This record gives sequence, structure tokens and C-alpha cells, in this order.
Amino acid sequence: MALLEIRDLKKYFSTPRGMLHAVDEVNLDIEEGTTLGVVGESGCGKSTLGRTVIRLLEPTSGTVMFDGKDITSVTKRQFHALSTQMQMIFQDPYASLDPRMSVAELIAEPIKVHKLTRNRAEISERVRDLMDTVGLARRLERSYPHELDGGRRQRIGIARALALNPKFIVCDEPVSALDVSIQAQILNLLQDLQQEKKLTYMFITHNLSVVRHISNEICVMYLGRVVEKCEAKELFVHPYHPYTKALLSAIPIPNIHIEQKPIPMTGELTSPINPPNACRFAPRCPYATEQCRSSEPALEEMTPGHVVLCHRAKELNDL
Amino acid sequence: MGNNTAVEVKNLIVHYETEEGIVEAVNNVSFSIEKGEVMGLVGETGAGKTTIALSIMGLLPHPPAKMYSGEIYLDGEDLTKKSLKEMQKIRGKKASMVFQDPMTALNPVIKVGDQITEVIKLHDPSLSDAEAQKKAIDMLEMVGIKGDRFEEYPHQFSGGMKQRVIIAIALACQPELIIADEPTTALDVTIQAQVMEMMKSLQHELNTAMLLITHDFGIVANICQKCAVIYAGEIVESGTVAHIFDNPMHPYTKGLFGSIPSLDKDVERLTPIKGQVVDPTDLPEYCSFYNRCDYCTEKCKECDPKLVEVEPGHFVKCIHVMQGAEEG
Ligand SMILES: Nc1ncnc2c1ncn2[C@@H]1O[C@H](COP(=O)(O)OP(=O)(O)OP(=O)(O)O)[C@@H](O)[C@H]1O
Ligand SMILES: Nc1ncnc2c1ncn2[C@@H]1O[C@H](COP(=O)(O)OP(=O)(O)OP(=O)(O)O)[C@@H](O)[C@H]1O
Ligand SMILES: [Mg+2]
Ligand SMILES: [Mg+2]
Repeated sequence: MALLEIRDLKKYFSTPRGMLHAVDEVNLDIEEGTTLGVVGESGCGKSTLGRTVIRLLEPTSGTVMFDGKDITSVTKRQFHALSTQMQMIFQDPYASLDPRMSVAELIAEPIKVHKLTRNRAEISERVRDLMDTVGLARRLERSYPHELDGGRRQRIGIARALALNPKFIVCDEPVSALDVSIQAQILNLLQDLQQEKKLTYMFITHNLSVVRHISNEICVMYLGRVVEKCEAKELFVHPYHPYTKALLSAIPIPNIHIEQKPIPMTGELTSPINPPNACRFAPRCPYATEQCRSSEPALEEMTPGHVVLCHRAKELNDL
Repeated sequence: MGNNTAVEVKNLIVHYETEEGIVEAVNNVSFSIEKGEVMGLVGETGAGKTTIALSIMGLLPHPPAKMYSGEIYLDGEDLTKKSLKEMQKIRGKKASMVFQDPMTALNPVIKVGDQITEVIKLHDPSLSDAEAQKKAIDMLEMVGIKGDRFEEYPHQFSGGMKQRVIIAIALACQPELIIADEPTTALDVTIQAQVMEMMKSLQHELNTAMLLITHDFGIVANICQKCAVIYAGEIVESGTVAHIFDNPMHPYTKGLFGSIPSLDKDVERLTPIKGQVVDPTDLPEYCSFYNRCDYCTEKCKECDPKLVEVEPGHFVKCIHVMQGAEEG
């Protein structure tokens, strides 16, 4: 049994012009101790997926089984107890930390909110442990976030997420704001923690070399739907979906001698508001046919563990 | 200053005076960008990149910021001598900035489309409301957002969509200088490629100069002609992209390249630069990279090295490189 089983998950937002399909019929499993990378166009629903999975947002429909329990049907109160096991690390350590709280107070906050212990000595002991775990020097206890660099701030965010001993963490762009050296430090830290504590991650990012490095599996989203999912390295060697191919072709390579040719994506954008009954990528897809414009494809397994949402995936692969 | 120079920054020193101490954010930085040229500015979080950008735009928060020295020429005029009012005009027309944080740059209570329309009208008051609105919708579509979302408010947009709106706004006034502070960090790579392409062609068309702050060497390789690497408020290496990518010389630059995860090689662990960021309130008298450097020697503690031209146009701030250059 996977630690997380997401079934037919939908999250719609109501807008003046109709329902906005932010997450639409998503099915995913995440095995304990592994990382699922989530990539896709900005606005395709990655953050909404992450938030809905840990019920920071109420799903429109569908279920999320966590460790065998359906967290979408439990009451708010029952969920409160479960919620300690599911945490989130945000992209922006600047915005997500209260500037008036010291490092120690910030890390103690979740412990206090969830009343893990009221004993002051125990709390400061736990805070120090957590600072050690994430590599924050103890002398920084009394510092405030604005006095620290981005890497250290992100370490505070990680310490806060770890404070309640979670099993599952949604990492929403945790390294996007950092320089490549600090990014490497934080990724190493996340990997060490995963091994030590058997943590399970959903890792949302736009950085494809990062996602390749950190993930076991990667899923690609487009306008609320998962359009491709497979083992991490496999995605780069054998992408099927035309959107995935466009995405991979646009990765900026840090080499001035490689001339990049991103596959151009032209054509109308499909609105996420009341999307038509058709492939959502069809208007921008160079291979779209009448079928693509008139019916929605279903996820199909191309090779074991590699699923694709495209009417023409098999056929295009044989070309 | 050459005829073709769009912006020149000379000996910029900016400190933040806080209760906890003086943050030496920018320490004697000089550079220039030609018209039609894109310069990349890379370096670690907290190195002073945004502070440099804010200095040029006249947007430093006083207090706590204090500019100790510096001349900033845009189009031949020293911006540091301008009044607040004059600077405001310059910001609307001659120079525009795409901010790092898309959340704060948009007004939460005004519809996204109206915010773009406003800038377009400011730039070209002769346009009718309908014309300006039509242009705003075009700009939205140009950055990949469906025009029918014109009437929505910023909170209804994802982070990346907000950033695209901000880029559309910055481009709408067709400035001479664009400062883009991590403009595409929040974007996926396909939209990023489109936005970069759009900025490139516009910049080419209008001969705009651009200062591009980024952590992504891939982007630098793609659109910059020049690049400066900054550490602890100082430029430690600068040159053409060929210098920086093919012949990086400063140990910090080399360390950055070594930290990037590869797209084709598999490694168990990444290799960040060792040690922690230096404390900007307590910078050493000598090379500030000393305690993190794989090549440091006792000699490095004897003086603060100068930025030396090691080959035409390629500057490096490291005594070991200097020795190498002197010895030929
Ligand atoms: N509170 C909300 N009300 C209405 N629409 C929303 C709301 N939150 C998100 N959306 C919409 O849902 C869609 C998905 O947004 P989401 O933030 O999940 O995207 P994302 O994939 O995380 O994007 P990014 O990569 O830019 O962070 C977008 O079209 C967005 O405009
Ligand atoms: N308003 C402020 N008050 C006090 N210190 C500040 C202020 N703004 C910036 N600093 C400090 O000045 C230094 C330079 O900050 P700056 O934001 O310019 O760095 P940066 O290179 O843009 O970093 P990043 O890559 O994280 O955006 C940092 O040590 C920062 O903490
Ligand atoms: Mg998001
Ligand atoms: Mg910055």
C-alpha cells in the first residue's frame, strides 16, 4: 500500500465566469520514503494539488488516502490530529515567516499550536534539536528572519515542517529563490532527512534538473490534469506527451555553445474555466487531430509504470 | 563613458544601518551596460543584487539604507543627483524594474487587466480607453495568459501568472533600461523561454539595455552577452559570457558551476560550496571568500585583492589568479 493514494481528486474554484478547474481527476500514488516530483506550466494546478492533498484546501470531490485513512472524509477535528503528519514547505521563506518572531519562536510555534508539549524546557530542547537537524547554528536562536540569508530562512521553514514529526511533506518550490550552491545544500539536507526519517515528499518545482535529481517519480501536469507520469530519469530519456517534449526542449542549458531550440508553443490557450470536452493541450499541439479536439483522452500505460494522457502517444512514438 | 553606454554604475557602496549592526550590502561595485546589451548578475542569496537594482531605480529604503558613494549614469545623467520627483518620472519612462516578489508588485484590489491598461495609458495618453484595453489584452496573451482573465484580481492568479503580468507591465512602457530581478524564477521553462524570447526581441528592437539578476546560469548562457558574479557585495569576477562559462577563474564562480545538478549525469549527492555565507555585518579585511575557498593560503589573509583584468574584458578578484597573470 502506498503512503498516499490520491483518487479522482478535483479542486474547482468558482469564478464570475464559471468553474475554474484547477485540479481535475488526479490519480497518484506515492510510496513511503520516496519523492514524487510535480512539474508543469505555471498556473496548471501544482500548488493547488499540494494544498488539497494535505487539506489546506477542501477538495471539490475525490479522496486522499493517507496511511490507509481517508483524510477527505474525516471531520475537521479528527483531521487536526492527522494533520501533524502532513506538512508543507513554501517557496518563499521571506513571506511565510512572521518577521516579528525569532528563529527559536518560529520553530517552537507549531509545537505550541499542536500542544505537543507545554513544558518550556522540553520545547527549547526540541527547538535546539531541530536547529541541529537542519544545520542552523544555535547562536542564531535569537535572530530574526530578516537578518538571515535565504538559505538559512529556508532551513527555518524546514525545521518548522519537521517540528511535528511528519511522514509526508509537500515541498512547494523550496529552492527556487536560492543560489545554486545553497540550493545544493538544501537538496542534500532534504535527502538526508528523507533517509533518516523515511520521509515522503511531493516536490513541486520548475527546475527540471533539480526534479530529476531529487525525485523517484515525476508527474507532468497541464491545466489541472496529470498528462504524464513515470520514473524520474525515464522522463528525460523517453518522454511521450507533446507537452512534456516541449517542456524538456525549453530547459535552459548552462553552456554557451549549445544553441537551444525550444519547441515553439503557439495557438490559443485553453481556459481553465469550464474547459471543453477535448484534450486540453490540443490547441497548442502540433500533432492535434479532430479526435483531440472533440474528445478527452484517458491515461494509458505505455510501458510499465509510464502513463500518458494523449490520444496519439502510441502512434507518434512509432513514427 | 562611451556614446553607446546606456547605464554606468561607479563605485557604489550601500549599507543598511540596523539595530543589529551595519550590513555592508554593496561594497564598491562598478559596471556598465551598453545599449542593446544584456548583463547577467549572479551570486549568492544576500550578496547585494537587489540592493544594486534598487540603487539604480532610486528605490532604496532610507532608512535603513544609506548610499555612501556611487554615481549612476543613465543616458549620461547622474541619477544620484535627481530629486524624488525626477526619479519618479524616470521610473515610468526610461527605466523599469521587474521585481523579485510578484506578490507585492501588484495591487490586490485592482483588476489585473486594469493595472496593465493604466501603465499603457500613462505611456501613451493619446490612446482611448478601448484602445488601451485592447493593447492590454494583447499584452496578456503575449505572456501566455488567456485574454478572458482580464477582469480577474491578482489573488486569482498563480504566482507565475502574476509574474507574467508584471513583466507585461514593465515592457508596456518601452524603457531604455530594464532591470529584471529574477523575472522568471516563478515560471515554467516553456513560458520562461517565451518570455525571454519576448524580452530579447523587444530589447533588440528598441536597443534596450538590460540588467538581469538570476540564479540560473542556463538563462545567462541563453540571453546575456556579459556576466558579473557577486559575492558579499563585491564583484569577484566579470567578463563576457565566454569568459565566465569557458574560463571561470574565481574559486566562487567555479564553486557555483560545480553545484548545479546535471541533466544527464547521475550523482548521489550534490556538491555545494563548503561552509556558510559570510556575515555581512562582519566582513573581513581580506578576501571575503577566504573561509570557504578550496584554494586559500595564508597569503590570502594579508590583503583584500583588487579586481584585476586577466585578459581583455575579463576581471577577477583573487590573488592567486593575479599571481598567475603576473607570471604570465
Ligand atoms: N483562490 C483561488 N481562486 C480562484 N482561482 C484560483 C485560486 N487559487 C488558484 N486559482 C487558479 O487555479 C489555477 C491553478 O493555480 P496554482 O496556484 O495551483 O498553479 P501552480 O501550478 O502552482 O502555478 P505556479 O507554477 O505559477 O505556482 C490557476 O488558474 C489559478 O489562477
Ligand atoms: N531593508 C533592509 N534592512 C536591512 N538589511 C537589508 C535590507 N534589505 C537587504 N538587507 C540585507 O542586505 C544584504 C543584501 O541583500 P539583497 O536583497 O540586496 O541581496 P540579493 O543578492 O538580492 O539576495 P537574493 O538572491 O536572496 O535576492 C543582505 O544581507 C540582506 O539581508
Ligand atoms: Mg504554485
Ligand atoms: Mg534579491
